[in-house]
Amino acid sequence: MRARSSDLCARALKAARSAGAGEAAALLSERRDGHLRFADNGPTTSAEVQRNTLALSAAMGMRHASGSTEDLSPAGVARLAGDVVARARLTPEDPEYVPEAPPQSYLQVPSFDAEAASMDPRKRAASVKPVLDAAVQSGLIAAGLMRNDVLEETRLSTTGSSGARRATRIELSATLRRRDGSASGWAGAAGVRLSDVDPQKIASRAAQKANAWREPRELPPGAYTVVLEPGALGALFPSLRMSLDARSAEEGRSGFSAPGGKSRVGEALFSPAVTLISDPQDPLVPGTPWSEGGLAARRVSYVQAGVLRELHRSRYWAKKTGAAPTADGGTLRLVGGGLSLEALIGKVDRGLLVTRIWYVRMLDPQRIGVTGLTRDATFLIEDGRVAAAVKNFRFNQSLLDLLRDVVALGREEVALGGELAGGVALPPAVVKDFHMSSVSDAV
Amino acid sequence: MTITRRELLAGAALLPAARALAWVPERPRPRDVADAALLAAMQAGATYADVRLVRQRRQNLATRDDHLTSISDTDSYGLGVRVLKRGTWGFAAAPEITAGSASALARKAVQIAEANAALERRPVQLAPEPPHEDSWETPIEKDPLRVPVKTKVSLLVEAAKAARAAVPQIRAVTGFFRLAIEEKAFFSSEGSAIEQMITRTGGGYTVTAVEEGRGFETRRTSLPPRGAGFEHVERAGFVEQAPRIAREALDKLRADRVKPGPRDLVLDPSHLWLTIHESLGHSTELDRVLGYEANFAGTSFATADQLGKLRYGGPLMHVTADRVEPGGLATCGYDDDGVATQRFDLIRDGMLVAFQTVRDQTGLPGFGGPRSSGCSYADSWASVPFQRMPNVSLMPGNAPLTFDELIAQTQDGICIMGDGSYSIDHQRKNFQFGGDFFWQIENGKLARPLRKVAYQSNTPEFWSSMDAVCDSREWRLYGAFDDGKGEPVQLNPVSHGCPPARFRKVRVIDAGAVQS
Repeated sequence: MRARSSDLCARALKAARSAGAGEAAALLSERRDGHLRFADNGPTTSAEVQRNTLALSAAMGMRHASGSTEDLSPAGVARLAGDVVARARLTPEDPEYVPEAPPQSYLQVPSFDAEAASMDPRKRAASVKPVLDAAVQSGLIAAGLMRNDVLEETRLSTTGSSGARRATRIELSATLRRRDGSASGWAGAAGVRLSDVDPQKIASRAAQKANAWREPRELPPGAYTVVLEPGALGALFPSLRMSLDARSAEEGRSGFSAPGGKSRVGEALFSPAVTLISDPQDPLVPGTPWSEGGLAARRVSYVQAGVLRELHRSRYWAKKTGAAPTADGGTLRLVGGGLSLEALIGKVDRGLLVTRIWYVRMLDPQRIGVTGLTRDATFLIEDGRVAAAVKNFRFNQSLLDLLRDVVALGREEVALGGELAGGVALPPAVVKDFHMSSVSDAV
Repeated sequence: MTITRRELLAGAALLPAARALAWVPERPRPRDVADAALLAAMQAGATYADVRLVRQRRQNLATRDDHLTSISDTDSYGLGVRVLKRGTWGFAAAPEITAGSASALARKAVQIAEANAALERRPVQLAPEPPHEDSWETPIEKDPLRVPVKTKVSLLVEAAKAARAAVPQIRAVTGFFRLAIEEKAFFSSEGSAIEQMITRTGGGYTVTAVEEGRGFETRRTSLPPRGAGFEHVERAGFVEQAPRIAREALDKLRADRVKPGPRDLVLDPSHLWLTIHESLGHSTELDRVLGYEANFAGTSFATADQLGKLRYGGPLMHVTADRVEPGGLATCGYDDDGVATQRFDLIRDGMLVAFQTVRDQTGLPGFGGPRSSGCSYADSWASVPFQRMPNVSLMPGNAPLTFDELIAQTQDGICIMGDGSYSIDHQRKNFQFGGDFFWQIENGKLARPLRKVAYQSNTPEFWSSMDAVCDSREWRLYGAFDDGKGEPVQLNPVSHGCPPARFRKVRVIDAGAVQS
């Protein structure tokens, strides 16, 4: 743990104690983010941003409050501590408050790459150039984003827990469109390491899709077997993750609710191919070493071979129900089956290849039913091969049914695209009976 | 004599440069910081530079039933420097507010521009804008961050108690407040010095009714967030409305599911604002039209060559864009390019007549200049300003027509109130919207609630089916804090006003049936 960051957190805790806090926790986040955005085959916006944020939570009995500041001067830290404690003092008691966890031992997470941390404006420009060159050479127009983030975090609590982590993230994605607006292809990659992103490969994949998606034919809405690329599947996961909650299930307010104030934990709800875990030490999507209230994050198995094993249980709900709280590191991995995307396509007699999904929103929480659209390039698969370009679709689909109807899974990668936050590793998937509701003309 | 902050700002209107940034708690003077950055940028070869000092204070508060579950106050203050060199943008930002830091940021921004200049295809040119020395603030009665926490919690807790007392099947009532004050100063190498204080207030609660065998349904308050103080929430009648909202949650749970098919829809402003946002607001953003958002938020079915030719709807359809509407979330005096805000037509008599623009789109198809329409916004000091949606609103009809009269004139249809599930394609055409509460209209009356209603349409087809628009007495302003766009994504607060309106023969689906 870096001494300066640790000292600053300690100073905040001491100030909170002096102001009357019974307990407190401080989290210092120091971020250095850089990006180069491009469109119309040239750069648009580009930035380097330093953000240093000190977050402090404090409690006295069952009264609590939290706050943050970017003023890390002694006066700024003192002001934050004074404000948070004063607010906690004036706050009504919260019967759901659970005190900070006792001293914890945090796992080391493999989330830092020195090469990724050394990215600068010239290296970003050099990474984007192959994408722009490929677009020009193919007669296409490129838009996209190269970004690199470096994060250092230090966490201290008055109960004696202390932890630190360093994380890097690299991301490059590109959409290549035909000049007349008649076709579009997307590709992208993300990871901890600079080597996780290959600009040439991304450019070539996006161009290949844009060039192949010519004169798409219109197919009727209905149920199709689909091959979902990882990014497409990933766009569906925020809705699923939101539903993996024990309290809402046991209160009858979720797709995982069972009669009598119970949940469906223990039921074989999904295909045996489905295993869903969260592991803070996952090399593809490393998580945070700590969880809610400073609990040490651990590996959690939510679904094992199709059986729902666990729902996320907050510390309060755990205390109320006499069960252990769930402490994951905030990431998810759908464990894959090892096949390539091409091999998965080869398994499908007739179906659709969905390369990207967009604007997914909950439609029916009781079935975890969502709506959304396919996007950029969608193809008909016949006899195990991509046979034709097809128009996009709107779909209305239950995610409970989707995970039940998984036929096969490929190799995991970091899912990128849509509105997904980072930290999900997914394989491409073959799913039967995916419900397309109407045709979308969007290109 | 104690001078209030308001008086200070009033003085700033007369002597803005001298009075600017009275809100900043410490030295050095922001003007000195900005001057250091502008000087360093120009010395390093920039042809244009601007500096934004932004302080954002926010309070987010959440309750569950009879108690507070979280309260968090954030205070973020930093400096962003944007430069143009060789026709290429560069931007750097940090939370250190010193002249030395500002100079270093300016030099870094220039380095970024230089690194990217080799990739540049079309040198950036800025639309002309006169320099402004001015100040602006949201008119408010009560500073939302100074209202005691207990007052805020009490409003939500009392509403929850009233809801649960009225309907035993209410299993949970979750409430929230989102309160934000954005104070910013803008200085440019062209001589602008602008100070603004923008206050935004939002809050509400959701009740969940549960019955064994039927599952669960929710119903929400329909109070929109506004550019306003806490008085906006206090006048909303949270507690008084709670029994009705609770009863409607149970009514919804016990209601029949909708029968799918083409139906006439009467859309309340509490619902229609979101359809306007998604189908009209986003499709008329010039950066989308030009492909700048192709990798994330998408493009638009409205292409630049269709300006003045594309028909969105019939003659009843008049849509404006503005950043001046009182109470609007996007309302301010100047945008983040330093452009004075204004109101302008987007769609007149159903025809597309303008796109939303910012300064660096000069000379591009669809710009419609010579001046920018003032749609630049950055969601913090650490974010790069780019094109964001102003308040986009459907104007009321000229003929007298109230909501009750519109319902009375509708024989068979569905009335939708509140927003629900929403989704639209990346070119803003194919869409599907749910709602929060649904009435079956029979023989000119709201006959009974319905459940699981959603409708599918596409933008021109839907707006062409609008055959009745209520008058100005029924016009209401709704909106949202968090319109996401851009990479890295930024959140834009934006409002949309409209009266109730009727749409003929729209495809309605049963949202509970996955094959719908």
